Amino acid sequence: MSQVPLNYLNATKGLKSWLFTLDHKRIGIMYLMFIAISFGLGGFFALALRLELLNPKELLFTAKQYNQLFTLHGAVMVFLFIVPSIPASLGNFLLPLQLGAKDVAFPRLNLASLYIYVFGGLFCVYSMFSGAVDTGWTFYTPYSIDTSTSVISMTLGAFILGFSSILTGVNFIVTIHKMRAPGMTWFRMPLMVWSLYATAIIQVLATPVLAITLLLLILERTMGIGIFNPALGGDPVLFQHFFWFYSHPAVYIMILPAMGVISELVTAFCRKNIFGYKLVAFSSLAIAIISFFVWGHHLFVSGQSDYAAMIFSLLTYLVAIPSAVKVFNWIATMYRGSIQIKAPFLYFLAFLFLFSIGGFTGIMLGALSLDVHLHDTYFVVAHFHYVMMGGTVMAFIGGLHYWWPKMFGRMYSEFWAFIAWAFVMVGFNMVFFTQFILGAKGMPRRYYSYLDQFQPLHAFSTFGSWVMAVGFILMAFYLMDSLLNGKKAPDNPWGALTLEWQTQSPPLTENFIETPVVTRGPYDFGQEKRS
Amino acid sequence: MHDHPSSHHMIVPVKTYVAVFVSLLVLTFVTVFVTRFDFGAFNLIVALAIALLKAGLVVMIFMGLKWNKSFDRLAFFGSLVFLFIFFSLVFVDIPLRGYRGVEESQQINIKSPVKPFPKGTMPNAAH
Amino acid sequence: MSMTLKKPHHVAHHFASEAQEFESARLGMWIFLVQELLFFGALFVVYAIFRWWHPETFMEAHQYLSWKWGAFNTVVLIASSFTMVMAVRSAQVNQRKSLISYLSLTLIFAGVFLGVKYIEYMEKIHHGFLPGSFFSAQGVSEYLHLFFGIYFTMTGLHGLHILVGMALIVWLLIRSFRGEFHSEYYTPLEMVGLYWHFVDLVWIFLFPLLYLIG
Repeated sequence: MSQVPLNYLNATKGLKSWLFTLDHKRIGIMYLMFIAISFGLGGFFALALRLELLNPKELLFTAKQYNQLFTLHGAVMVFLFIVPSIPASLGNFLLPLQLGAKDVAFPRLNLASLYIYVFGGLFCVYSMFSGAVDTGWTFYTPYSIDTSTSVISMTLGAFILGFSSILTGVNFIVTIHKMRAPGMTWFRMPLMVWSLYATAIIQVLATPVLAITLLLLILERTMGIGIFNPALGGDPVLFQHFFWFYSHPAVYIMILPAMGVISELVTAFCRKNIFGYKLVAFSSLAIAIISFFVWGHHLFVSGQSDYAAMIFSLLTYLVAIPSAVKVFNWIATMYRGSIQIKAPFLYFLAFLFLFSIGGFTGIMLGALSLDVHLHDTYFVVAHFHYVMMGGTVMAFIGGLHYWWPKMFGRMYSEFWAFIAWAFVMVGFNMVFFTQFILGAKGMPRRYYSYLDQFQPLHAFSTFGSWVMAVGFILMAFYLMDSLLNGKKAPDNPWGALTLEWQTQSPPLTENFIETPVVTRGPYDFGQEKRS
Repeated sequence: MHDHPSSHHMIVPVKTYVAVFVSLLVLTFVTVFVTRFDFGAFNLIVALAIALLKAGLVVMIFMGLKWNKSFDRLAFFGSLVFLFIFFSLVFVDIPLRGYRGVEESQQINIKSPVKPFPKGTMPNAAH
Repeated sequence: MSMTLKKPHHVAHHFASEAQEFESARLGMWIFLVQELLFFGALFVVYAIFRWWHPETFMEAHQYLSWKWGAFNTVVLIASSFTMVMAVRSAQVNQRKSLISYLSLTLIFAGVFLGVKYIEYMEKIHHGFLPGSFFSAQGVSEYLHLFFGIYFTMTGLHGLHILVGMALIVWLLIRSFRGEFHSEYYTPLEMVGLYWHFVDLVWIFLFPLLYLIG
């Protein structure tokens, strides 16, 4: 018995001790589980729809089923996977640890968010089996008012998931304000915390607008309220305004935590202080604030006024500034660092390459004149997959590998991690770089069939999806294997300086034996404290 | 360290609360009373100004933001800025484009469930 | 007089002090209200847009609403806000009896508000002033059904918030009877109070915008 030290995993036993736990670490692990399942589900839909696109003819699915597939892929990936991915799983696990706190400010609210998430997820799953949705994950009116598929259960699911996200945001803001350990000043916080803070701001400010939008859509379907229905005198473009007032900032809910993870990875594996701590920290806040000014670039071809389109196009460029500040600072951090090439660092590199491509193409799409041509083509699809998957998912997986030893107290196989990374990286670029070309040539998104001339590129993209799938399946295997047979992890396998590495692996139930007192910055590697 | 909570809370005198209560009632009366006069386009502004005054009293006194100088204050007033962003950027679009995304000349007929009054009969207020 | 029943409060394990616990709860409540503000705010934007497009509809529609009931309900809600602050204050000065009476009064005012709302709704339903495609009344503007869609959504969601508030006040009453609130601990009272004032705040804007200026 004395072999295994007491930790949050073995402190109490039984299913009930998990279902009713208030420990932020256990809640984070449960989130991780549901998020992994959602990722698998969304990935399955992606593989299915890529398979259908292998050639322009009907292969496995009818046109209607294909519409349902891409809708479910989008809805599951956005609402069930990527919005909660990093904040709810890694964030929940890490935030109190990195602040030197015993728990988040409201542990019961935290557990409630988890159950609200599961409850909302059940509605989404119900929707899949009761006719699915074929509107696209954006639920644009008027089609979403008329379609016979089960829009209400899916939107209700997204509505409920929104509240889970809001409550997590409330919890995180209060935790960061009030639960910091003695000496943990704002500028001694790890950058992960800064990015979670910026994320929480968006979650709290933008999500309620999504809630009201989806509620109005539900009222539209149940009692024909008419606000968004042109046949009743309403305005469908208004739906897009309301939807994107949330959903564009939501894009930053997805990418900001990823940027936080990346800042942790680059410092830990270069053993160097971050270049320009304050700039990186404030650029997170800047992104959060600017994110509310740009939603109109989704409406460039939707009939919004030309003046609005021009203003939104200009405002959109602003986001590039803080994003580029971060990218340059990460690169500058690497300069003359003593770099260890470990699995998390590989994902850092993947992020850096893929996110930069995603960002550059984002600027192209933000340009009004060019967007009119590229709007609703595969170019857009490729762009946001480079940001969302190449950015967020790579950072999420990198973070998962980085904190895995802390979460489970086990190491994984670096060799297999490298192999899986290579598959994912090659597969990803096969799938989505091809789609840039397809889009530039004029292939519209969400189409079931296409001209024969696009077939080779579509086929190549589909092959890529299989390569990527192999990578993810490998990952699932070696991570499972690590849980069962992995080497015991030391407390601080990477030699990082943030607080979560100063406690045991896995941590105690209340994180630290004694509340730590912080006397230095999070990345002061072997240097005198910088002023 | 142990802070006694009462050191953080201000116990507001009853007469302050009563004064706010009475002011709110008076302002409610005023906002109803001024509808007897037609200020034209200013009707909306007058009504909103009174509502803002009432809201200010509730927020500052009843909700205690007058004495609560912590981040709570910034959070609340800051969120108004974001609501204003939403409002103003939507209104960059709405007045500058045709209704429902089409030009005035192409307006489609809507299926309105409203039963029109026979010509010449104007409705009176229902109550 | 009320000092006989006074349960001490224990600070939750993860907080270092009562002050930290209280300030966290208060900040959490304010952040929650921020999301409520954006939630209702978005509806006010809907209102503004349709008013911009169809001012004549709004002018016409407000005549079908009873400003008397609206004004009455405004007074009721303001009174309930007043009794709410007085309830919190009673706890601060350890007057359990007046705490319970003020809370009960708040609950009664909330009930009256919903009762009046019920009368108004019934009347609207009776005359066919219903949202969207259920609309069946006579009118001049062909966009009247949109106004009533907005009216029912806004007042309906507001009413829902009143209902939630009532449930919370009942919970506070039960805890007050148990003597859990006193000068050293009244956090839940203060938090529900903030929520309640916010609901009042929404009505302060709804009343003139829907009933008065049309």
